[in-house]
Parts: sequence; C-alpha cells; structure tokens
Amino acid sequence: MSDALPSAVLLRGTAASAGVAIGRAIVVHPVWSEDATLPPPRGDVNTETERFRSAQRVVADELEGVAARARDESPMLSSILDTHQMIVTDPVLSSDIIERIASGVSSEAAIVHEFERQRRTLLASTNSMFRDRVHDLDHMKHQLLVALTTGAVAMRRDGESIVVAETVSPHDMLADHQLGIRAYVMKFGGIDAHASIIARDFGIPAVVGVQEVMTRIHDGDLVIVDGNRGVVICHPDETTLRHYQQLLSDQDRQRSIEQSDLTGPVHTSDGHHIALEANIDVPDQVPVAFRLGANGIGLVRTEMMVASINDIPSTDDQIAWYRRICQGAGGSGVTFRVFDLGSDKVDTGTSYVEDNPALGLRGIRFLLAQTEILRDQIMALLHVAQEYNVRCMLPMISTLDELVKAREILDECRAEFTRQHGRAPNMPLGIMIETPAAALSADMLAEAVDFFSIGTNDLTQYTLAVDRTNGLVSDSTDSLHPSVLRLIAMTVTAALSAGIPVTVCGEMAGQASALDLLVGLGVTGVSVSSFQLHDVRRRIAGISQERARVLAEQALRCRTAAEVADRVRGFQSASEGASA
Amino acid sequence: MNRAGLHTRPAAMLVKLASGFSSEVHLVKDGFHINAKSIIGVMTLAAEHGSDLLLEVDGPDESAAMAAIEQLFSSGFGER
Repeated sequence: MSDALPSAVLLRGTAASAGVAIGRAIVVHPVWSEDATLPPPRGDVNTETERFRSAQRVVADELEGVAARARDESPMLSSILDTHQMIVTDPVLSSDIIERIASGVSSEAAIVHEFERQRRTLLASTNSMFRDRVHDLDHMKHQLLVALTTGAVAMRRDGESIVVAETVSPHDMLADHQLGIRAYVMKFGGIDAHASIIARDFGIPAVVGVQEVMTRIHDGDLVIVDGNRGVVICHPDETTLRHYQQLLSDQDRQRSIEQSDLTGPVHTSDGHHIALEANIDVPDQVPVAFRLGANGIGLVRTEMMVASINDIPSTDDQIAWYRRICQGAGGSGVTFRVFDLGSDKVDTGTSYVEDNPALGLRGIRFLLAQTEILRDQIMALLHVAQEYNVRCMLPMISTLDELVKAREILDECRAEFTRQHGRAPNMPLGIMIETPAAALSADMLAEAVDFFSIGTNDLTQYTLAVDRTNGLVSDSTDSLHPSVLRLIAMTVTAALSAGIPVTVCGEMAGQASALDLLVGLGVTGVSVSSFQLHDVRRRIAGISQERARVLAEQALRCRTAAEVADRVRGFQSASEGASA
Repeated sequence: MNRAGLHTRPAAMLVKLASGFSSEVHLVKDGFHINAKSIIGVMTLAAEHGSDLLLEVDGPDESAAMAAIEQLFSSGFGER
C-alpha cells in the first residue's frame, strides 16, 4: 500500500495493545549514553562550576514544579520527586563535584565520577532498602547530564502525541497516561513485556519490537499506530490517513457500543449471577477497569504501593491512595488485600535470613511479626471505609490461629478507631485461600470471615510443591490438576454452606478453559486483570452452570491434569456445537 | 528510631528539617560522621531499627536544631 508512495514509511512490529491512534511522534532518544566519552572542560574552573550550578538549578526547579503538581494527585509520587530533588541539591555531593571541577575536569566528568563514588558507597551499605536507591542516583545523574547538554530537562512530553522509544518504564507510562499519550511505538519488548501489559491495562494502543523505529521516525512526524495489526505508518498519504481516520471514528463508536453491551451484571446462559471484578495495582487502573465492565474491584495489591516507594507508606499516604481507588470505583465494592510482603521484599530493619522464603515469613505471617504495619494499614482502611464500600482481605492464611490473631488486631483497631471517631464503619473481612492447609480447614475458617478469595497461583504451587516459575517442573495445566480442583471444591463447598461469597482472583480465573470448571465448581465470582474482563464476560455468558457442574464432577474424578484438560476441551467443543 | 529503621521518607524528613537550620548537623554512628543535610549521606548511614545514633549540632541555632531533631526522632517521624 505504501510502496507506491515514496514518502510513506511502513514499519512492522508486534501488536501489543489493540486500537488505532493518529498523532505526532515524540521520539525519546537516550540523550546521554552510558558509554559516551567524557568531554574536556569548556572553559576555566569558574565557567565549568557555573555550568554545573545552572544544570543543577534547571533540574531542581523542574522537579519542584512536578512534585508540587503531583502533590494532590499522588502524594507518593510527589515524595519520590522530593527525594530526587534532595539528591540533585545534596550539599555534600555538590561540594564534592565542585571540588573535582576545581581539579580541572569538565562538569560532565565530575558528575559521572562523584555519582559513581556515591553509588558504590550506597551499594556497599548494609541497608538493602537504600541499596535500591541507586536507581534514583542513576536517574538524577542522567538528568544533570542531559541538562548540561541541552540546557533543559528530558521527558517533556505533550499529551495527544505518540511516544516512540526504545522502551518505556512503567513509571513514565503512569505519567504519560495522565498526560493523555495516544499510543506507543517501541523498539524493544514483546507481547508479555511489562510495558505491553500496562499499555493494555490503560487501553493505549501499542506496537512493540519495531526494529528500525528509532532511525525511521523523527520528532513531529505524523504517525499512524495500528495496534490491531502491529503496523506503524509514518508520513501516511491522504488515502491512508482518511482510511485510518474512518477506522478511528468507527473505533470510538464501537467502544461506546461495547460499553453498553459489556457492562452491567454478568449471568451464565442459565441465569446464575457471577460477580465479575478486576485486579488492580494502582489507582489509575480503576477507571479503565470500570470502563471495561468490572462490577467491582476484587483485588487491590496494596504491596505495590510499598514496591513503588521502597518503603512502608505512612497512614496518611495510604488513606490518600485508598481514597483515590474508591473514588474511581464509585459506590462499588473494593477489596483491599493488606500488604502481601515477604521478609525478602521489604527491609524492616530486622535481618531475617530465610533459606526458603516461599515457606517463610510472608503474607499474614510477616504482618503478625510486624503488627505495627498491619495496625496502621487497618486504621487507614477504616478511615476510607467511613465513606466507601471497603472490604479487607488477609493474604496467605494457612491456619485458624493466624486468622484469630489477625482478627484480634482488627478488633483492637476498631475499638481504637471508635475511641477516636465515635464509631467504626462496617468493613467486611475476608481471607485468601492459597495454601492446602487453608482449603482443608475451609469449613472452620468460613465461620470466622465474611468472604473467601481463592488465589490459584499459590494454591497450585503449594499443593503440587511446584515452583511455577521453574520450567523444569511446572506445566501450564498444573492448575487443572485434580488435587488442586479438589481443594477448590472443598473451599467452595465450605463457603456456600456458611453462606459467604467465594471468588477466584488467580490467573486461573482469566483462562477460558478453567472458567468452565470454576463456574461448575460453584464459585460466586471471579476477579481478573482489566484486559481480560471482556473475554471472561463473554465466556461466562456462554456457560450453562447446569452443564458446567457435570463437567466439574467429572473433572474431580480424573486421575491426571491431562485428563481434566481433555474433558474441558470436549465440553468446550460440545458447547460451541450447541450454540452453533 | 522509626520502627522500620531510617527509611527513605524519614530520611527525607530529617534532611529537610536539618537543612532549615544554619548550624552544622551531623549524625555519628560507629565512628562515621554523616552530614544530616545530605540525603545521600543519611541513606548510606544504614541505621537499622534500634541503632545507636549520636547527634552533633554546631552553630548559631544549635539548641533549636537539637530540640527539633530530637523531637522528630522521639515522635517516631510522625508515624503515629
């Protein structure tokens, strides 16, 4: 199509996130390459010192401005930027750099040398949480070098444009999303890359793995990104442009039609209601989830907040974050899973040495060892529960003892909250069922909580004693293993006889084949990634619960995962035959 | 000391507070002197929960600075 038109450039890559976009390109070149040779001084010591000081001011001012703008929207992002600003203006680092400049080297050389020295010190530090801060140092070094080269700060992007880059960090994508970036074209990455997943979550079209993109597209070029076919067209001719403008308006219309079809309650073909909820990590994902038809938020992985700032957030920061999520959800229910951390994931100041973290101090065990963290989080959740429909969920409960202890803490927090505020709001308490021990005693646990959520990833791993990330022992059909299904069946039976909801929030809920089984086993809801909501909704609508129950009964009697998979395939082709 | 050790946020709070005084503020741990106005310095201090820290303040507003910083530590960095 483009061959006849010499000006147009057609590039192919992998379709990573569906949709079409038209816009002007912003090409994000790495301004300062790590292996660049350091330049000699441009002038005398005073000139070089002034160059450094002016770059320092440019970066510090920019950070201060961005941090101020982010303060209301994301207190945590704002505190990260605050820290960055402190690094750039650090008095010790600054005077070391200026001293080095005085020895006759360029600002660039002094910055690289002194940052490198601090980096080594930090890496040698015994405090692992700060060791991770080397990324902040590297980032700030880069910003200073860019400011020296260009007199400005990198990463100034206008909204409504198309970002062309080698790769984009999740952090930048969050900022882009707020700016209203229309599409991504990336040199690197595949369909499962982090950036691709986030682009899909945000509903931003993306084409990745486009080898020549950095050399063929230039700043300001008019670009069409076709995330459905994995095609990027630069300098499109009139005909192509009109064609895509038409597609774009069709797409907008289609999206609004889909929304009316693909929202609202979900029922099986024989009329059984199944709750369809979304798993999310950050507040920005909430509007997307509801646009794609979620009835609620079934899992907020609050530990992502810890990961993003490498620290336990303060109660105030937590309240702000939880409130933003609930605001996005309107009156719908939101299930917050309290920090699911392992001793290996966060530095608590106490050195825990564990040979086997998967069987170690993680989930509720970690929180019961660090009860202050749990108390603060429950207090924050109670705050938000005053205004919104908040549910609290405990991770990795394996024994009734753990639940009883956690409940005691919750009750103490409620009493404290009542002392402070007059009354404590209603906040249902649920638990993750993700160990065989929990499934085996589900009848006892069900008496003590308001809901169950089955985490099939860990349940599979712990039941089969198989590390899911270890290709030597894991298999894609593991979660269909009769042993796993039997534990799910026990859990569902216990929940239903106690009259509490039981949902599935693991990957299994997003797999078309497993959905039939889960519905047949009697789960009352599923919670999946936003981008799976449409498929899961369609799938459930096509399942007869009556027939799925028969399938589940057969599957529970199978001897191997392969047998289960066969049964499920037979069921699906029969279903398709029936509906055809 | 903050229950989880001196982390990024408390570290930033300390640096901000110390920077507001004209006195020199140093933290001393195991013989190492750290400028409390330097975020990188405070981060490399690696002060775990329960660490013993010595505070050295020298300058025109030293008593005010000393009181303010002691207050920050004893309040658990405003966590509760």
